[in-house]
Amino acid sequence: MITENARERLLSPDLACNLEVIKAEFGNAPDLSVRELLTGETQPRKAAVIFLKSMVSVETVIRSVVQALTIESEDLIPGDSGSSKTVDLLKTVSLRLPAASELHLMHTFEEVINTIVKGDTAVLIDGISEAIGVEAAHPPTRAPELPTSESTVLGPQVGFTESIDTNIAMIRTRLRTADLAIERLVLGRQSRTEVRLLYLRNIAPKEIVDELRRRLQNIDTDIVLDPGMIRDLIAERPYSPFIVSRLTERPDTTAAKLNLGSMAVLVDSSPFAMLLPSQFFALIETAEDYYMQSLSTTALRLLRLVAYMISTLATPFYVAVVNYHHELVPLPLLLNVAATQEGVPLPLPITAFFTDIVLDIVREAGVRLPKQFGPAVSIVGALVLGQSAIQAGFVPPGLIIVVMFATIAAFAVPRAENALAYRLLRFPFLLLGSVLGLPGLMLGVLAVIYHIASLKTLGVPYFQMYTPGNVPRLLRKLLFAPAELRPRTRPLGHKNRFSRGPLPKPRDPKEGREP
Amino acid sequence: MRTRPLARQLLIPVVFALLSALTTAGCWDLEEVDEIGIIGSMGLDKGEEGRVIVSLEVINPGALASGTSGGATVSQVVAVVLRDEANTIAAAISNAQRRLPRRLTTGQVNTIICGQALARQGIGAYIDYLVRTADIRGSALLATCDTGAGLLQRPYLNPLPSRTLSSLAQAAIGSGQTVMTTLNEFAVRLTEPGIEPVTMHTVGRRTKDVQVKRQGEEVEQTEKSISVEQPVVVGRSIEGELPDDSPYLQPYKEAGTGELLPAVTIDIGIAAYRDDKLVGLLDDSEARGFLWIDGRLEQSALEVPDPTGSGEMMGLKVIRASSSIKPDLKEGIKFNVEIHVDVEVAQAPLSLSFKDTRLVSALEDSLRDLIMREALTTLNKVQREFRSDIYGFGYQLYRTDPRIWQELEPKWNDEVFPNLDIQLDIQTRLRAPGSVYGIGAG
Amino acid sequence: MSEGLISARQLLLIAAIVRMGSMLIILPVVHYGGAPRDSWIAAIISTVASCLVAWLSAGVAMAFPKKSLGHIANAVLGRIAGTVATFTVALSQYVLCLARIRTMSLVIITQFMQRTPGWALALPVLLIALYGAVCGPDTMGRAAEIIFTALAIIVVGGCILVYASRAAPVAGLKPILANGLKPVLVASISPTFLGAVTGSIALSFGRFTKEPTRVGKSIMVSLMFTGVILVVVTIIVLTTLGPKQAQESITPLLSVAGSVHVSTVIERADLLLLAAWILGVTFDVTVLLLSASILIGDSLNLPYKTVAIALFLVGAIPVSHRATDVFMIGPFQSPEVTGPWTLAVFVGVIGLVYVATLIKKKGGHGR
Repeated sequence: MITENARERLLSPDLACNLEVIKAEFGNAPDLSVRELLTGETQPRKAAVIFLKSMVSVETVIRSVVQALTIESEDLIPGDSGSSKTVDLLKTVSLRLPAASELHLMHTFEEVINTIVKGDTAVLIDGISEAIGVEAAHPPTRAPELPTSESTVLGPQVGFTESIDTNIAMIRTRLRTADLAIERLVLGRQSRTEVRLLYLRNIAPKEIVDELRRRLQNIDTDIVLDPGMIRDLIAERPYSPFIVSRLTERPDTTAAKLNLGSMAVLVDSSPFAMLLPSQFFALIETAEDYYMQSLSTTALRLLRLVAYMISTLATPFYVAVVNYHHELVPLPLLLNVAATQEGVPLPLPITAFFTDIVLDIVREAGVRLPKQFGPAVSIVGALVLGQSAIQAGFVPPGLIIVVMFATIAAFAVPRAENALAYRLLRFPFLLLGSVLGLPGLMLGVLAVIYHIASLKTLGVPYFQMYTPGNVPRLLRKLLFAPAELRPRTRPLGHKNRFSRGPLPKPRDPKEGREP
Repeated sequence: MRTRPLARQLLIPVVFALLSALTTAGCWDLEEVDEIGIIGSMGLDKGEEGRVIVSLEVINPGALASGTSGGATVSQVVAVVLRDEANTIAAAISNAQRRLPRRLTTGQVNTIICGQALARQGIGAYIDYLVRTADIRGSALLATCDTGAGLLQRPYLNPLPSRTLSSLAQAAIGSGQTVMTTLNEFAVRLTEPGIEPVTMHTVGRRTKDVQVKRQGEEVEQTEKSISVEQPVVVGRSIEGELPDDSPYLQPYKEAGTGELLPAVTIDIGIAAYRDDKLVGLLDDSEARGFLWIDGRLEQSALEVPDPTGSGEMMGLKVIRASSSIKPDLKEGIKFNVEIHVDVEVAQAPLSLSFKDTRLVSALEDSLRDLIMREALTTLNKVQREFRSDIYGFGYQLYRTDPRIWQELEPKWNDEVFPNLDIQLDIQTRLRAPGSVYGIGAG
Repeated sequence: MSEGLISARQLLLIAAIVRMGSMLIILPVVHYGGAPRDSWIAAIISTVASCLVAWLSAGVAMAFPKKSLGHIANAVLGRIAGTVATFTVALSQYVLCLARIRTMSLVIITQFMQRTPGWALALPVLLIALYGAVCGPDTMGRAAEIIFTALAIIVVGGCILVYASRAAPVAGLKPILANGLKPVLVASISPTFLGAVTGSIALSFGRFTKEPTRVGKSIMVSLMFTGVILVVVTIIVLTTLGPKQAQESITPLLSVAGSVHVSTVIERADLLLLAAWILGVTFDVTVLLLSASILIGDSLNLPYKTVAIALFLVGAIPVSHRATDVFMIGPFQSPEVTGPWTLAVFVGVIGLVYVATLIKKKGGHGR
């Protein structure tokens, strides 16, 4: 194996030598294909086209590169083999390869190897110490399908795929403006993954974009397979249970967010795009919100917010009230709870804690169940287990109801990654509720409120209820008012404040004037 | 990208660790809900030498809960009545604690019943305890009875004696026979000048003995109490305590169905206090007279003779009644009470037609007479016998002219109030004939 | 994050919560003075008086935008006198912060959780106050938005509940001013003190406000708004409990909440009120701690976060010392104590700084 230094070596004019180096560098990779050919008739030069069979569309390469180089009426490069006349290789070759899309010039072995590894084709010509890279990558990919993690009833039913070019195409289709900036980065020492940073030039604030770019460029890691992997590397507060960037599989969501001033990071070989910066109310957003009637959106968003709070606070609240504050409970309910509590071996906080853990395990298991077993096991698990536990007297039924309800309420919150906060926070809340009752629980809630209020990502606060400005942001985020009331300003973008012009007044066609 | 030093990032984990450390010291106030003894209601009776006998109805949740319960049930006793005597209520409760394996908690107390003997002596000190204890809710119902403990002993259409009384109170208020006084209201009336407290008053009366039959069988009614779901009484006995054949303890089987009903009706009225001492009782017919002036009448059924002279009685129902007391200080101390009553017809002789306006006004007149009679009868009784301003005339005087009130206050209840000149201005309105499908001739 | 700014609206909300946190449970306006029935008038008077006193603070803050009292006092009074002046204000806030923590834990323990020791509540509260203080003013601003919304919902809901339940008004507000104006004035001293302290947070938070010229307006609006709430709450308490009972009770609003009874659904609401109050008071305490840290830090040229940690360590002992006596609350907030305090610190010291500021400004521009 040749050392690093060798890679940085310049190509030599000797084609055979170059080929040897390259072949050695690739070990004995069975998919490395070296096609040697002769260019020119009168003074044929040796040339070689190198590519990885598995990565390219072989037919395209043969047709657009090999054949084009071979069939010619003129010499590709006049002069004898061995002469090192300076020639504009790029121009010459590009003229000769009309069917090839993108060409670039290479000088070092490293560049050649990177090109080949990327899936492009390298063209080396005897006597020239430069090489040409031709784009031809065609890795295996699938057609756009349903986005599995974020399916909706309304709206486009298509999600990103693993090919970054396809994904870019999908976004371009939705934002047909030249202002869509797409910056290219290559991340990962071993994976050398293509990464794209997208934003709308006329909307996204420059300082935020610069900062994000700087952070991405400073990533130094072996492999990057998914935006989620780089999340930790660019986050400011990686220990917070609240996630400040959002992963999405949907191009329509991405386009909408870009329009609001967010930035998107796409990673090759992952169907997920990372949207930055994200805010707290993204917890209760789904893509359908934009497609449904605004009134239903309002109701649903409120419902999701309530569900989120229930999932975190229901069990601790129940434990705190039943154990510390009996006076608060209406008597008939208290009697029921007390009656069912009798005979339960463990104190309520401990029982609640274990029940929570058990349900978490069941939830985790449910994710991984093969589809054939899913319904059967869930019925067995939930029903039989729960019922038996109650009848055996291990767990009071009141507690089971509350804990199950909290768990199910958690599913009402869109997207699994948002579950992290509630799954982590439940236990400290339970602890506080068990030790100090309702006051303790409130202290915990306050600490979490402080935490949320202190989160910032890329300078943008994570939680903002009333934006500085005249329009109550809460209304927009939470209530999603009908179009007339919806504010027209963009939350993040400082330029181009208005995302919508004034509404036209509807007119009754028969009357000829406003109804 | 770390923007804060490690120390700051660990702040949250450290906070939670510290808070977790609290558990090692123990959760101090944690009381499992099956370890508490829930007191549903409290009865206060007069003990010897100025002491008070406190009866506590402690509810057994296991016997009452609906649905399946998992663990072993303790017993089928619905409630246990603990009784103990001490100088203060707090001491009595703490004494009673030694008989119960659960920790007594007063957080769910919603009825407090004072025995008459104790009430005549004065319950001010006990009201102070009840108000001062944060646990006891201010919306608890206060009632006076012949003996406080009596009503706690027998479930009555409701497994919980405490809930019995409050449901009864709510139902009775609906027919204008009593007032529902909460602890808060009693305390306010104690402290506000010129107005004296009233509470609900209940007493048990025995109905006639009835033949009892079980389905398909002849069973004799016995004098002995049948111990089905009988509350267990633990503690001292009270002088004048209900004997074994007391109507409270007798179940009553309705012929044919075999259903258990008590052989007792509970009479309801109003107990009038002066300061914190009971001074008099109004029975259910006089209670309405009080409520006309008091203004809190909600609904009631009245009977007036038919104005056309047919000799039959007509039934009227009160839809709305309100009153306001206004002092008239132009010449001496006088009060005008304006009473507005809206009624509808509930029952009338078939021959009447209410399209006749003369009939309507005659009806309103005779209603006015009825109200005047009732209100004045009660007012006279209150003024002469009770000598306690439970209506709040003094309070209205205080609000209008505090200086005059300050002069008169020391002798208000004894001298001024009994001789007060009170004018009733009653306005009645027949709102609805009450019949959509007229059977009458009109 | 440490240099984040808050908007004027957030300052308004912060001040509103600070004020509400102090007056929701313990109502000094009803407690002191000889005429509880007229305490709603005292509430109105105290609102006006608070605005006047707070205007001094706001004026100082607005005269030197982007600077806190620590800098300003040093600038106009010289280093030594300036430091002393700043310290009196800062220590007032700090002492009130500790007293409030102690009061809160005392109230909760004596009323609801008798066996819990005082430090078990006081120390976590102080700890969370430290956390909030260390996060900085902009976090406080954003948190204020959430907490204010929650408190507003609870206050409005609570008022509705009180009227929906059978806690109907039995006592009236008449006769008005039966005992003359003097007891009313005495009763209004303590709430004015609390309002003055609220206003003084302009001296520290003013530095971090994006629109320095609107600081005064924010403070005034929040004081008046919370003044209205105070009047409403006072009236509710008076009509539900009666003046005598209201005066005797340490926590009148809790008593009222305890009598709320809406059929069998809500049998009593006092613990819910308590939960809401804890949110408000803890936030209030955090703001005071932060404010004191900022003032001391700026005066001595230290970062406020370090000062906050120091204040936490110093305060941990007095706050958690074994709580035995709930009657301590009385002397501390009585007019005899708060009256001179207000005059000395919030009128005197800040007034001095204000005058010095005016002189300096005129001296700079004049002639």
